[in-house]
Amino acid sequence: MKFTPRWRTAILWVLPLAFLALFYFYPLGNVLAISFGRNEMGAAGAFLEALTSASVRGVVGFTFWQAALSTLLTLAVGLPGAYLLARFEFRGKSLLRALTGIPFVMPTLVVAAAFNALLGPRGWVNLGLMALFDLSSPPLEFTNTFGAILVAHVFYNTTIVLRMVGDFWSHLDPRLEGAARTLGANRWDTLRRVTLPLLLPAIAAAALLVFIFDFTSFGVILVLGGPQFATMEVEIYYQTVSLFNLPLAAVLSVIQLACTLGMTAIYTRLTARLSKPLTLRPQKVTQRRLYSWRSKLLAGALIAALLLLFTAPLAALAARSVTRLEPDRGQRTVEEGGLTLDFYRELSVNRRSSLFFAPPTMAIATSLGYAGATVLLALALGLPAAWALARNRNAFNRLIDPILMLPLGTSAVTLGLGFIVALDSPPLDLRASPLLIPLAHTLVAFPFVVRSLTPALQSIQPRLRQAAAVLGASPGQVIRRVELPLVGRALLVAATFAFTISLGEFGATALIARPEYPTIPIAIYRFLSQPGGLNFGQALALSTILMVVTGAGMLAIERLRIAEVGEF
Amino acid sequence: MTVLKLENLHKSFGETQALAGVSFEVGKGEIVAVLGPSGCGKSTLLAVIAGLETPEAGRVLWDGEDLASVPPHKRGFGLMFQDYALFPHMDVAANVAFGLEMAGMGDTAVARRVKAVLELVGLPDFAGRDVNNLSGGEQQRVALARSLAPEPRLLMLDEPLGSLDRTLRERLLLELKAILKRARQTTLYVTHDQEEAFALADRVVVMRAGTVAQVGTPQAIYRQPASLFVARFLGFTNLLPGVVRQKGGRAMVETAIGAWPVEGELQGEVTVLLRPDAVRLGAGSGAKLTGTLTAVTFRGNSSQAKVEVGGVELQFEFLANQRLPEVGENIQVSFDPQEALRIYPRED
Repeated sequence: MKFTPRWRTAILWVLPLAFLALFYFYPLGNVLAISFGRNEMGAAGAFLEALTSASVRGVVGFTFWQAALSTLLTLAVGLPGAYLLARFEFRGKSLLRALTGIPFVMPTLVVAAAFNALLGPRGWVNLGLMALFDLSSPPLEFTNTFGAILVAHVFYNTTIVLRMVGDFWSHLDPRLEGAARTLGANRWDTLRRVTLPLLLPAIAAAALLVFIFDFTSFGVILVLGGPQFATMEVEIYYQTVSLFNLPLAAVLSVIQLACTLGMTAIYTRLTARLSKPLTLRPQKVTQRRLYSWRSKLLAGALIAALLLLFTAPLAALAARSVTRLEPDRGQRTVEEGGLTLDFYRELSVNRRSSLFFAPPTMAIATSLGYAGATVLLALALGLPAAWALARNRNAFNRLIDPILMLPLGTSAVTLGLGFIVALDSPPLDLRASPLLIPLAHTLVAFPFVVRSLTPALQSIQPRLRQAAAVLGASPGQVIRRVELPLVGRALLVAATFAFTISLGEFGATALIARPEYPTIPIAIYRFLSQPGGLNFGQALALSTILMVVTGAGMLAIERLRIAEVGEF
Repeated sequence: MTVLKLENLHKSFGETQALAGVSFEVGKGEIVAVLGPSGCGKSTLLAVIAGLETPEAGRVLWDGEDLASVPPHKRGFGLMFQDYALFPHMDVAANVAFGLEMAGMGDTAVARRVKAVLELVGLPDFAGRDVNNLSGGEQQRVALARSLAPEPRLLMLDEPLGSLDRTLRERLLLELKAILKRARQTTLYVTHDQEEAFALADRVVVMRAGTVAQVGTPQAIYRQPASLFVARFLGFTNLLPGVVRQKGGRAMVETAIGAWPVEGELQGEVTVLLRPDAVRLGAGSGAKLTGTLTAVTFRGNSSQAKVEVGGVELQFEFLANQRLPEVGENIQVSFDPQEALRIYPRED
């Protein structure tokens, strides 16, 4: 009987590991095989060939360059904000904190559409300038510029800096700075010699995470950057979908995977160092109110800037989706301007009776179906994995924990490519299976599900389990009557994660979705890449719907998450 | 000679009034202890003197110069924080050297001074050690060394022994006093522990809810607590309700267990303090009390005795070498009313 608990844990692992083996390692193995195979110059030949080509080098170089620049800009915006949130107490702070979290959870296509609605050729700013100065063409060039990519990345990732650096900063003992001041250090010396070195691990970790996200950014660059800007991710997509050059796509995938996994490994080490024996203090004592009018003014300006950055594009999106402001085709002026629900109404109309055209309402139904399937799959696989992890921290579990997180460090486009090359022929031919997309989405959602379930399961004290057992509950009854009710909230959180991730997923879906069954993001992408005010309006309408659903989901997660668990 | 002068300092945080008019002075080379319960504004007081907090009203003067416009790093004051606030990313030597480097001292001079100060605090071989792996007592010495190194004109210590265990505390207390006296260091020492304050300080400032309750030498404060608050804070428990009446031209305080002559202006209802250490065993001169010994607590060099007198329970302390009656037997004590009694206006 001694080995039964171990066997029980082993049984818990069967499904999750089989899933990962079949839908993560097998496809990636195929990508590897393709990239290494079929070359007269030996195994590394394909890589040498690719890296000697100027265009590939250009793509790799641009990927690093845009990610580095985006990261620097994100830090420049995020660090002052982190200081404000960490050290000061002011009215509306929790609201500001919540608002800053919104962009991060928005699907890329929503963000791309939002910036289009604000700064694109048909966006508020350009329409306003045109009306103001009576111009015939939009004066501000934003979409298809490098600037658009940078701005969208800053919009997306500033919240990482605010959260990671801000949280750490808010627990940093202000007396360390006080000690430096009384020892004769002026403000600058204190910042340079004490505050920054202490914050460095948090800043480095945040910067690295931002860099990884910018490095693998896909939707933003595809939609906002336009054809002349290609990161590796976008190039993999083009090579796969447009040029059918799977070997080159595979080579690029492997290069990118090596980079992201390397960076993820460094990131993991950095975050482990965050737990350095610092005297962390409860926030209550590290924060103060804004006293002087000067600090109030500075803080006010910063808050206003952050609010503008975080809410303007999304507000512009929602407002633009219900406003008709431009002339219809062939007319010089707007005939019936003002509020309209036309764009929403058009969503169910097939104007071009095209073969591949699916009415957007069907895209919504498709997406909801996929999301539902993803929730079921992700919970069915994530729950046993989290349960096994929470039960004990033996060597096997410690080894397997980072492996479960691997899909997080793998770009979605690479996952999609893996599905294309691996699951299109026997023994696993899933090309026509409606499960293909939920499986891909489950892969993306799986780490989130495990990560949100494990702490909740761990928080169940063995005492409770023992108490129930002593009171006569069988192991099954312990799970049903004690543990599951306690984990209920965490289950809801995990399910919502899976649901919203599936709804917004674009990278993998873009590669594997069948044209007649687009998801919402795919439909948005199609509308955005077609000309005309009506298409633009519909893209915005769909994006607004997706934004509202995602926002509601994330709000539910914030509400349901057990307060402060995992915080200091 | 007065060097530090505090004038009517006020500071509040939102609703909480941390300092509500604090004034006192510190002389050159003097060790002054600020004593008070937690939350009475002691730490805020140090932060205001150091310049880390700005007072809403009042002045901090050094040699007659108002420090309002002098930023903390130019005040030349040292502050040793509660829990020490050692820089966790620097080793012991770098922590101690920090203030010296800020003062622009050259490398060799810094190294020499760091070595000297670490020796002074009894940690000569600790220069390269990681501050995160030091024991509480070692951290305390490093923090002390760090604040002493730049030779501050005023050293402020915020509950420096607060988080240490009792034996370590008593040893460090004596060492601390020796170090401070040797360096003729002008010192402001904040604590909630009266033993610490009495053992270390030349003068004690008792604080209560942001105000100064009493200033005096340790002896004066112990013998003559200025208010009921100070008496209670010092741990005196023999507090009896009484009434002061004029009898034959003399003021007498009448209590449930006796009437004794008192001095002062107070009339009517009062609370009487009978200081336990001023009470002698046996029927000596002065006032006498007879009661029943109900309990004895052996305290090493002294014994604490609980005595019931006329339905009132009193506590006395006797040297351990004095022979006490058995518990339950009668016991007689005597005291000099002028020495042992204090009267205060009745509260509540």
